[in-house]
Amino acid sequence: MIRFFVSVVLVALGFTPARAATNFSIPLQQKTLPNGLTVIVSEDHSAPTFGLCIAYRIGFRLEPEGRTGFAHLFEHMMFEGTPVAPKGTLTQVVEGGGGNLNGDTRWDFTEYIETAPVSALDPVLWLEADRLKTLDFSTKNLDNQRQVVEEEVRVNVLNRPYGLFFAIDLPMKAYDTYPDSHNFYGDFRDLDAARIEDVRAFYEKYYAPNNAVMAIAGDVNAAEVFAKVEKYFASVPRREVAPLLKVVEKEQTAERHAVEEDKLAKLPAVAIGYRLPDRNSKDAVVAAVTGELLHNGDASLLYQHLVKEKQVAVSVDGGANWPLGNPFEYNGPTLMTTLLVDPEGTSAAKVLTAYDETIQELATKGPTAEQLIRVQTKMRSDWYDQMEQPINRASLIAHAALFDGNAARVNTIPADIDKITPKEVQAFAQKYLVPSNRTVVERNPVAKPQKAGE
Amino acid sequence: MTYPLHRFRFACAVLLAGFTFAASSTRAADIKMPAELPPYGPMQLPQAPKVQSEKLANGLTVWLVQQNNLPKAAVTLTLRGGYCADPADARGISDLLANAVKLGTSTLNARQIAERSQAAGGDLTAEASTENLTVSIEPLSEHLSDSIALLSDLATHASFPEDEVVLAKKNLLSNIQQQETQPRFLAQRAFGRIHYGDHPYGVVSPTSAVVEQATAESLRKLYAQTFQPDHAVLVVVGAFDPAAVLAAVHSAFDGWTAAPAGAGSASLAAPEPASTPDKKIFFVPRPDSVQTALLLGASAPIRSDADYSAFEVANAIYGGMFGSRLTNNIREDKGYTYTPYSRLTVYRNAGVVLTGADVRNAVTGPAYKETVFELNRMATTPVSDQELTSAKRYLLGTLGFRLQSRDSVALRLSTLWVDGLDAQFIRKDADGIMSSTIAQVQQASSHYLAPEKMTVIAVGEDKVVHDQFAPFDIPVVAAPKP
Repeated sequence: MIRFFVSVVLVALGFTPARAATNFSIPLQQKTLPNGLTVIVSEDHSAPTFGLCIAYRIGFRLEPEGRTGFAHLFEHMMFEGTPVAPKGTLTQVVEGGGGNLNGDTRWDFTEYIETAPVSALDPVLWLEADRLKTLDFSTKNLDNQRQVVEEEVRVNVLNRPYGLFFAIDLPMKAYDTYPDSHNFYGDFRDLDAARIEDVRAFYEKYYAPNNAVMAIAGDVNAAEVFAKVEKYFASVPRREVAPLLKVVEKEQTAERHAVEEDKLAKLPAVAIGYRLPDRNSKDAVVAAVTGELLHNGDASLLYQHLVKEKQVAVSVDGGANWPLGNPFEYNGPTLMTTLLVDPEGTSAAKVLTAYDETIQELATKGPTAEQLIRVQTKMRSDWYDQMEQPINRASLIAHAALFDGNAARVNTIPADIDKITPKEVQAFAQKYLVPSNRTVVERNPVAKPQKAGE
Repeated sequence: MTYPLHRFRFACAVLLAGFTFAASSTRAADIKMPAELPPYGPMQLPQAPKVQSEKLANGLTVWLVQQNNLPKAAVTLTLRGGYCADPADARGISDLLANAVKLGTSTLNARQIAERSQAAGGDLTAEASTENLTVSIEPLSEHLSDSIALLSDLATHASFPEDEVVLAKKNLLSNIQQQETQPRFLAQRAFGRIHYGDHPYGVVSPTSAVVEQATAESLRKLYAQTFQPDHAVLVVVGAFDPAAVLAAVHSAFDGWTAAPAGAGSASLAAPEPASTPDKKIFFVPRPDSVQTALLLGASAPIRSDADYSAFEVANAIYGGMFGSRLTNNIREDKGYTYTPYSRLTVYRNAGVVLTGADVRNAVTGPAYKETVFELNRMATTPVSDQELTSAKRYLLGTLGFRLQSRDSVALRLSTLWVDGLDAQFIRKDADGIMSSTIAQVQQASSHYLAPEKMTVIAVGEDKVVHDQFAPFDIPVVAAPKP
């Protein structure tokens, strides 16, 4: 077993950024059960709790045509009980054990997460195994969760200013194939059409131990966890799982542009999405770094130019694979997205002119060495943040194992980031951050006489 | 309070599924566990963090907590002040003070400050709230000394450059415009105004007029009042050598001199208790809404009240946990909403409980009715043994989780300090939760959750709200202007 320690070096830093001296890694131990379930344990004995993430290789990209939003609706059904542990049992056990639980669905994975005092580990593992054997395929519960999900869509999309257009409408415009270019939250027509047979078929197709990774982090002993997992999961049968889709998007050759109206927003906004290279390309890490350099924080290039100098935006957000994941957790086409909210009355043309100045400067000059080191330091620091709480650490590990087949990647990403040079960032900007590789969606408030809230 | 409404960085949370489940009927009895389910092991009570405390000669309190599992630290400088210390004609202006304090010092401009925090691996944030103002950063441990020096520079030499203040005002005005498009912001703002009247506890944001009147000069004056070492606590949590950190703190903060006594305002008298609420529905129009945001709110205990912990248990059972009665009813049984909630907010001299949900227009009336039903059930009937046990364990677990991350430990300790408490309160609260009885929970519920004590706000479409409340024979009136 690898024990880790933190070397703490306190140096009074001057004003010249230096590459981080700290090299921190978390311990990882891995085992694969005969049924194909991959289990990874990261011990951290600093608090008497654990975090668990079981991630399945199924996301929006694989949901059937005519069933937009189904992967997420299905995720809700995973909380609706089984024949032996009916609706309510899981929540009762986790919360009654002092814990929290949740789930989330993204383009390429669906994960179920729990965190609790270690005293609740056994019953939580038992219940995770139980819902991997079968579900309570209840029409009544499906009807209930369909309503809940439709309320979720109302609160996050239909009743919300901007309606997540930068996450939903932008990729729909940027891609051409159904898997990459549909409304992942679900058209109500499709959500209404979902039947319990769909739930059963989806479950049988994707929810198999050999299509999942389970990570457990916290105040546990790895050997003991492996023994418990064997005990509770050994009887879950391996099942045949459909191979991942290989979707080929038509190459983009010209800028795409759409204009939308928003009845609820008061300020105009614009979203810009550049298609990114394949996740296995060496440019993928450059994309992550460039995304941070442009978007992250008050020191970012876009914040400085658009908010401070030109004053054509009030906020800047974005990054590679933003907002539905970090730059390393996807397995198909994704965008580097920018979201700009602009002062009242600002035209999108004016904002885009200033935006292009920033991109042009990056492509012409590249970042300075100092700028890049600052960004790399910040990314390392943010990466460690994700390893702090056991529930987040478990997620990070599970995603690395799912997408890279290598959980230890969580320990090498900061070094991969540090290797990126100003020249590589400049070359990336020249190659990818060009109008013919991007989609722009403007979102403008509808002019109306009456102001909300007054 | 600042509402991070346009920080879409958190938009990834939108897909979090919900959580809750309970018996298939909301009136059902306790859940029967599967026969083969392994039992829980013995649960440990959360331990209060071990705080190394020191007071500098200028009155600055310094609290250090070591958490050595990651090479990072959270540094938080918290000052008493916030909306409660804002001038009476400029309530909420501390939001602008917080935004502007990181825009320049005598030696650094805004960009240099941002770049220096980035170089340390941290985001520098400054935020005002009801009773305090907090400046914080979470650097890599190796850059901790520099981060402490940076916070000290902001605390002692902020310069409020004219052009930066002009831009900060414009951007805050834009931010307020955005907040006013959010239903929950509108509901909370209306509640604050109705429940607290003119008392600053009712302020959730400055008005546009207040922001427009501010000047660099008025900010410098407020800064001088607020940024006083004897009004402040510096909390450092993370991986570090305490002796080295203390040396860095002394070097950075010893030169900060306290102003003459009487500057600033550390404590306000308790607000007038809310008058018995009118039996009215206060309506805030939000045209084109497809949901109504319902909010019911009432006074709640503060940390020093004897029934505080019992009320935490009551609130968890009613609506605070995913397995709560409210969630079981209006979400998991009836499918009216995705977002039922009930939250306790505690200020130094008053507490408030806010409950509600966003519900589709057509079920506004029924969702209100069920919410009142559940409040009334809490107020008039005892909870079950299983509910009590679950809620206690849930709350103790949650107390423990809050002690797992550096920033939440720093925030929690800072908040306790502002209230005149310390880390020992965490253990006291845990003991209070553990010892709560069914009778105490019911007493707290009848005291704080009775529906007749609730002020009711509805934000949404005019016709929808009026039509939906018509069957209740309760007048729907316009909420007062902010």
